[in-house]
Amino acid sequence: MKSVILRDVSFSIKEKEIIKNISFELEEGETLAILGPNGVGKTTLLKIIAGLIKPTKGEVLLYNNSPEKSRKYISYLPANPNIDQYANVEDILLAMLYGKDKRFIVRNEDINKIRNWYFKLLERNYLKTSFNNLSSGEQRLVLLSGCFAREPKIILLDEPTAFLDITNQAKILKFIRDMSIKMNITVIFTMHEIYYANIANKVLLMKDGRIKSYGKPSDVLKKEIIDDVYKIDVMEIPFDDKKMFFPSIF
Amino acid sequence: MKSINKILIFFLILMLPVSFLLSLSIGPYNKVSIYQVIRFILGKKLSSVYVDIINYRLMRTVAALVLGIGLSSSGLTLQYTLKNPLADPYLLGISSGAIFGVTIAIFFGYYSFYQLYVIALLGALSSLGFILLISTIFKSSSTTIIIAGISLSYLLNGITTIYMIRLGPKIPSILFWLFGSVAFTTLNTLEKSSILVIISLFFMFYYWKAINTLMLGEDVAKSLGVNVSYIRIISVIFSSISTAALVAMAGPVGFIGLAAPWMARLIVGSNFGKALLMSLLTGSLLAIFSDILARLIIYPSEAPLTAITSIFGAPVLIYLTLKYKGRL
Repeated sequence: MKSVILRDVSFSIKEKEIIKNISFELEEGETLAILGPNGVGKTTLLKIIAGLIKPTKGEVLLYNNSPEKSRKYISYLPANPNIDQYANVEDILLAMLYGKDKRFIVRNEDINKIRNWYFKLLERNYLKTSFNNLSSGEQRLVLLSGCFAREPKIILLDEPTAFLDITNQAKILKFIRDMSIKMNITVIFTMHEIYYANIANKVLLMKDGRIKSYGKPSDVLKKEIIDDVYKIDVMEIPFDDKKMFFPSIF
Repeated sequence: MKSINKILIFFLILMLPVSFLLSLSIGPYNKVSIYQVIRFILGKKLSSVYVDIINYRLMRTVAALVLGIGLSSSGLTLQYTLKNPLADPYLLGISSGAIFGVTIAIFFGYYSFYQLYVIALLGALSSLGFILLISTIFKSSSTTIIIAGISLSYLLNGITTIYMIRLGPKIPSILFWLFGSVAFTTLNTLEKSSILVIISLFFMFYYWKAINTLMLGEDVAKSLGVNVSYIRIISVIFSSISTAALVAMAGPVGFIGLAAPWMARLIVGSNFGKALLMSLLTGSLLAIFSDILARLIIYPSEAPLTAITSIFGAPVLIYLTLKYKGRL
């Protein structure tokens, strides 16, 4: 079953086109990594899929519905969510259940649900600690557990690995992949680490708001394509059956 | 929740009836003992002098209660919806509108309490109208709303100052209202303000979960299905109506709208629903005890309420902030 369909999606602000004719389809349970240089339109594309911005042309379908009608089965996490730093972790996680909980009351099963997901990602109990007392890695893990606690069918993550150490990056990416397989969740994330994109089923490489290349990681992640997109000469280092890319700076 | 907090909440709930008893018995004119107050509550016969005094004090105690409830709930709602921990109900120029209206009215010779009440209410609500106009024209980001409110306050305060100088010897007649006090509240104005406060409270509770999601930031709240601009406008409207009604009734009583929400949040955490319930308690206790102190501190005359709420509230707020540093 198709979970995400984009048909000819474009977006422009005052004549300036930011996203140009993007089309792709994802099956239920697939993971997609969106790559591209800064300012290429990755975040805008993700916001369009999440229904925060309306495309000026084309359409987005999530399980054959518009994003506006799909709120109950989407989780979206921006790169820098403007979280209330004074709020404690449990209150934040409960607030993230909005739309999936009862209208006026907080049920015990809601609290159990968020605790359950929290302890899948974090070991120490910070539920009663305020958000600003956590490290940026812990903050990201908390918010990610909140995304899953919504029990969505589609998860959209803007740069889930940014500003994190390699341990947390690996933890988050593995968790996303495992849960996606186990629970049949479709996950779309943007990132800058080209090598990590191998964890996804599909990779979308953007250049100037358009799709430069789309397909399996092994088809998309090639030296000549990456050289062209990032406008820099990269070194290709083979590792297992995958390839790592680094810019030559020395 | 830690058990110490449960004990604290229980203690605070217990303090509410205690504050009522104290408020009915303490004050100038005539001493009324707690025993006589209890007789009055039980409906026993009492000499008419006492009945009049207790009735008057009962009204101003209820006025302080409504004042505390309204200001703290409005302050809390604005802190969430404008994403500003320092937001208080007067941030949007509501009180400046009322003061402006009353000063102009006195300048043109209107004096009765009820006339001034209506004028203060209209002045405050036109400030709200201006803020709404600005925020719809400029797409209501919380920063534009705050800047519009602050600019409006300065503008109105400037004009008010000029008219006050021109008032000359008539200044003392508005001074007490300007300082804020529940001493001149009448049954009529109390009734009207209470209705507006209760309507506003209803909306705050009705939308509590949507307001609660704003702690996650605008984008996340939208992605969860919250209509953020609508919730923000609704919150600004109702907290301002509540504030306008209270400024008209008791003048611009300061600090309750900032301190009481924070006291509530420090005790129960940041969940908007819990904090809103708790702020009703902290707000009313702060207002009632401040009013009692206002009657005692320069006995037999009376101090303005704002002076007491500030002197009394500031150390409590600082103490709580230090004590709960880790959770804040």
